[in-house]
Amino acid sequence: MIDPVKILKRAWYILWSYRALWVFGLILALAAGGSSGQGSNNSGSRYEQNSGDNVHVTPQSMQQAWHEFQREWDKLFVQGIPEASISGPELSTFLWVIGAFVLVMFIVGIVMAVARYVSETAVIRMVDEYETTGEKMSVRLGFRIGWSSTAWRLFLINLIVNLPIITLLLVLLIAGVMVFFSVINGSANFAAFSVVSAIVLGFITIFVVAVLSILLRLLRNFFWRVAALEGAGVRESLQRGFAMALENWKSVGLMWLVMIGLGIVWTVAAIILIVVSIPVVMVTMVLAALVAAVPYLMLVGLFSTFLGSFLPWIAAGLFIAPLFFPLAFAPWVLLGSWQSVYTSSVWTLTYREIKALPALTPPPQVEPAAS
Amino acid sequence: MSKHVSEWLNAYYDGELHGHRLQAVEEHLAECESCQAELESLHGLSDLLHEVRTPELVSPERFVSNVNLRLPHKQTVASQNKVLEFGWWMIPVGLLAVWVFVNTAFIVSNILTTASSLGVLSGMSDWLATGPASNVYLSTTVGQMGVLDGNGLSLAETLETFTRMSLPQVSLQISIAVLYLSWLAVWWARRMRREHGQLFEG
Repeated sequence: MIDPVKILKRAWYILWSYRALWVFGLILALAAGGSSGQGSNNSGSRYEQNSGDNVHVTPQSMQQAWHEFQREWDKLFVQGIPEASISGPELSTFLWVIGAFVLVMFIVGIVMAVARYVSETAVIRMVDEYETTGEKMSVRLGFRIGWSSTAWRLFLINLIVNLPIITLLLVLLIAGVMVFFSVINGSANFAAFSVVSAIVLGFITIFVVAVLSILLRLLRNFFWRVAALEGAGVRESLQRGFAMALENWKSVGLMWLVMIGLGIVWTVAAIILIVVSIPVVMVTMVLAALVAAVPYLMLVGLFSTFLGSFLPWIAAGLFIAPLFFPLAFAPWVLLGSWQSVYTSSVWTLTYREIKALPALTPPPQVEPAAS
Repeated sequence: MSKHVSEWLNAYYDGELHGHRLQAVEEHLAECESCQAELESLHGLSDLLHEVRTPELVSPERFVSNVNLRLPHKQTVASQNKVLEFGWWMIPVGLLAVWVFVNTAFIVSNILTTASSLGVLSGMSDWLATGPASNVYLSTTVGQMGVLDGNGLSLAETLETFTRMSLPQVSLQISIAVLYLSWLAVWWARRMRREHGQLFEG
């Protein structure tokens, strides 16, 4: 069995002594939003049916609502918003600007996804290299070893690991649509039956997928490391990673349980740290505002050439937000980066330990030669 | 007799000689007993070396781990009650399962609430209703007492509704987290005790 405490201590040491990893941690925190340990993000409300004041939805009422919406929409883009001195054509142009913003964000999303997997590869390899040779790499070298086909493999592995969640969403969507049509078209009894069936099916599906996702995310740590450290392909990484975790399920399970506990501690610590660092964040917000002010004003000037009223300010704000927020909340992003680097280091060290285990088994006892 | 070929015997033994040199050494060996004896001793030495197991070079890290493994350890006492041991490890797993179950229940609940608010379930029979929609008893009482009114009362009602809806989930999550951390703390303490025991015995 591996020694989790030894691994945790070593990862802690690596986190503070190997600062080049922080750069990749920052990218991971920005791109992945803290790759592990997220809880559920539901709002926490309990089901309560309203006391019958809902509008009964029928195909006719939906059609009517759609026509009404179209009418209002057309009116808005012909007349504009006279109260705010915004003409219809200006509003149309603003819609194009929002479209451009969505396109830019899509491109930024792709760039961040690439950066995320390059950083994942870099952190895994840098920690492994440090453990093997004791040498620390520079950020540039880290990028060089991260920028490889392995990053693409990590992406594919992650996609496979997230397949159950994608399937779940599809199942829920289909079930929802079926329930909707059964309620508005079928008899009351059939509608009740379909709703109850959908609730039961939804509950079981969500539960099973949640458990499956937790297990797959645990295994992903090994899949990724086989791919990054052994240079294996996607299928081979999945096979070898699974076999490794299965063979050492006690060590892996223990490490996993400890990491979950650590995740809880981290959540509490992060809340405290976030509250404590609010004054620092206020300072960084001012600094971010100063940094973003010039490009913001330039964008306002640009948008003013074809937009009127307050629309240029909103459009410029949209485009400058991706620059402003990471800078403004830099201390919190740094917290996320530490968490990402620490978690990755722990699993890399676990992988190394587990891999070394067969070599550490004591050799068979040699029988003394008969005299 | 030609000159002794001692300096070529190693190469001859390893099969590295060719042509003229090989012929010369073979011819000399055919008639020189001293060189034959030397060749024989080379045979013997080689056999001896083959019999000796060559040590494998290990990295310092593995060497340290090997030494640790060979150090005297307290023999793991076979658990007399395996059921208890199994139960011990099932505690965190069970807590996680409960956590997933609770969150699933809340997710389904949220979906139902959303569907209900969208009017999808409005045609359903009343058995889906879980009770009165308004659970703002405290705020209503406070309002009836005249302590709050207007905006203050509506704010209190919103706050009470939110608290009533969020409190069960938050308290459940916190309870599970506390239980999990307690298990982890006990595991840690057991581990430390075991380590200290080994240290003292060592």
